[in-house]
Amino acid sequence: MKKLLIFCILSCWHLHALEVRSTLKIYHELFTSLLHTSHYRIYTDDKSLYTVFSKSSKISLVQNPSSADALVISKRSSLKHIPHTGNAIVLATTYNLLHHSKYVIGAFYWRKGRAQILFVKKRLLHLGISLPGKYRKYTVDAL
Amino acid sequence: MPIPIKSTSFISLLVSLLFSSATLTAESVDTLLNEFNQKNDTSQKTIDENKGHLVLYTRDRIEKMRARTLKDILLTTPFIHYHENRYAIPDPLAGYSLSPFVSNFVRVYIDGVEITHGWFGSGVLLYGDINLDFADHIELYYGTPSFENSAEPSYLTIFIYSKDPSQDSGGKASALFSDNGHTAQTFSYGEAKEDFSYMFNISHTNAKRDKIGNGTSTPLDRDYRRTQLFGYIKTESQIAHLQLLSKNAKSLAGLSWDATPEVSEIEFSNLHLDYAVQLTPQWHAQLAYDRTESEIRQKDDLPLMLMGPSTGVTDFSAKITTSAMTEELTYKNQLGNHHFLAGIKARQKELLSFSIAGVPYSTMPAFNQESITSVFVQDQYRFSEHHLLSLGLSYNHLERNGNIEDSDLGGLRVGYIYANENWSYKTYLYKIMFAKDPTALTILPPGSRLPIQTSWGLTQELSYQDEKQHARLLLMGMKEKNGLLTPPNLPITEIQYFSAMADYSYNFNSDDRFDLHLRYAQYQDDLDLQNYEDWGGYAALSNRFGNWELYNSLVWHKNTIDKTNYFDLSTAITWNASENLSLTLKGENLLNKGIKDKLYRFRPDASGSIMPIAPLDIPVTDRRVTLQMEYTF
Repeated sequence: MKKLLIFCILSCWHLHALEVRSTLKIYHELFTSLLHTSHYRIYTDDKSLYTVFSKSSKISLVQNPSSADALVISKRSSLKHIPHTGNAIVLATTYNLLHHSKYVIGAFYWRKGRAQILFVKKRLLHLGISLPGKYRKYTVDAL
Repeated sequence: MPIPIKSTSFISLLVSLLFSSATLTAESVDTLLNEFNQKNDTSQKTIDENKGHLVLYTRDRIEKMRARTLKDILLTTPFIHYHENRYAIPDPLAGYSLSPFVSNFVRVYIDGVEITHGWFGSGVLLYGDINLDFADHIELYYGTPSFENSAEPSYLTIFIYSKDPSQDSGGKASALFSDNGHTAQTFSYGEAKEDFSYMFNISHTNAKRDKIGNGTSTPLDRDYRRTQLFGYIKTESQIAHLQLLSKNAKSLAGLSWDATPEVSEIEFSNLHLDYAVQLTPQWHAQLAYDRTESEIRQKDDLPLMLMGPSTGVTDFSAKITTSAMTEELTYKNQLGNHHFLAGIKARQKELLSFSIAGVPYSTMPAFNQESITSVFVQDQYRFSEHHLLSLGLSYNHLERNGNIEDSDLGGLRVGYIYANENWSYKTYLYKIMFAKDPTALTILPPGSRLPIQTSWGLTQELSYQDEKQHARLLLMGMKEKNGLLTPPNLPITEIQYFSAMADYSYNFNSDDRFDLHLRYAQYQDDLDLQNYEDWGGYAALSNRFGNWELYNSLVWHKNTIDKTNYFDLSTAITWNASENLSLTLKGENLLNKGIKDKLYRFRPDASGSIMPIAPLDIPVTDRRVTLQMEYTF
């Protein structure tokens, strides 16, 4: 079925739309490892990700950050929600957001056109989160 | 010889055995990231399988090749490769031609907008070897492309797509030095804001090329200095580009019949502006403007190749300013299983100024404007989950001033695509017509009948793809009447072309990849005067070991003109010293056996006739070693 993509006529306006299947696979892996559950309530301020997440049977999109298990943020303005979100974990889609806020525990972001994953160990420990060993090479002690 | 598709399983086994030590067991996060990167490289973006037969250079592939210019890419492409003409101008179809530029069949687009040199036509003349620091990926479509993309007909369209700040925010600076004094520097910066993003890239190249001995104390020279600016700003529905290019070049043999010029220089300054807006999900509008100033200076002890050897003109200079304005309005809509597409395009080319010194005529030609109006319709009908039919029609009207007659060109394209999980098959039947570019028309004798080239073609492509490998067989046949490139002194009326390519790529894992293509092309005219065969291939292996990356490639060429096997061996090693800094040592054409072009020479005599003398061999690529540094911030 995925080969039906071959018939899609995409204009340059969709130049950097995300490929749904592989994007969901990565986020499912991240959420399962972080939340230890197979169904998650997610808040995101990113339009592209919202479209992708809406196609997942494991993700329930919520409009209110305070009722989410995890926030995935792309905008700096969304950082103001974080103090009111209780135990929700916060992931970012840019390195700058990860660097800028101590509440953001990790990021799945682009660098030089390639996707990267990075977690901050100190922030994970602060929330009592322990990631599987396979994430060791994607974790730094601090920023 | 093209390899049959069954051979791909054997090749797969062979390369697996040869390089099994490079195959690593990836951890699951690595695997997921690799899959994500691959899918986002190839499964979406701008790729449109119905545009034609695609050869794709992804960001990953371009970086592994350490390709810095479009020339580096076109040296490895099938069928139509990088060549320069006797003026050292990028001209992939130059062959033995003495003309300043003949590659109007090849068109170049940046972010979906054609770059054009108004009076000469294709922007390949200016952009055929541009610095690619701004580029994310490159799509080459062989065969007649979907009419959606061309205001003027073409056989090969090169689509360069720029990097996006949402995936490349921040800055980058790079520098290159080579053992022969060649240097290049680039700087770019991009940022994605909440409502818009922007990017700019500036590069400067001081190209040093090997000199070509011509039996005099002044060897042929093709050094150049080029400064290039690329920039854009875009929102969700609008984008505007600004591009500037300035090139100051030594022009090899130029107008010297016997390739012994005393002075041979060309300068170009090009401005490109465009703006596009997605008015609604169905309607798209686009405007583009190109303006090029060219200056040529030529001097020889013998009469120049200008108006025949009998004129006695030995010193010549000219300045030409031309422009092209292109407007487009396209409509797309999905109606049930039909994907309907229609549009109208208009292009106005103008010779803005023309001054010449050293020859008897110096006035502006009466023919200085050409307008092209193009309309097209196309329907793609998906009649089942796996099958798609497409039908496209186009009509171009070319209107010229100065008592030059108008031309009407029609186009037809019928296609069928089958695709399932792993296999795909596509075939196209097309008719396409070409007219001479305005520069060539200017020098036609008064009263000449304007030649129109008509080509009928049939192409077929069978491919197989799974998570590790991709294999393909591509067959193309074409019949051409009144070929524009046929020398006027030969009574050839019809030429048949046949070409075949087999390509194969294998990803051992995210770090190691093997690419191979083999191709064959045959050219036969109705009088058997200029029959020609061409063979070639490309093999490349790229590996990564921790912070080290290796790239090795071999390009092979052979044809029936000189029957020599040419091998261009290149190798590169990169050390990623940190997240931000990388160093690359690259050797190009290391064996110094890369392809050479023939530069034909003639000796004019006092009677006004010319006699051929031994041609010169001009290496397309110099042997050199470069050190490249790249820093991101």
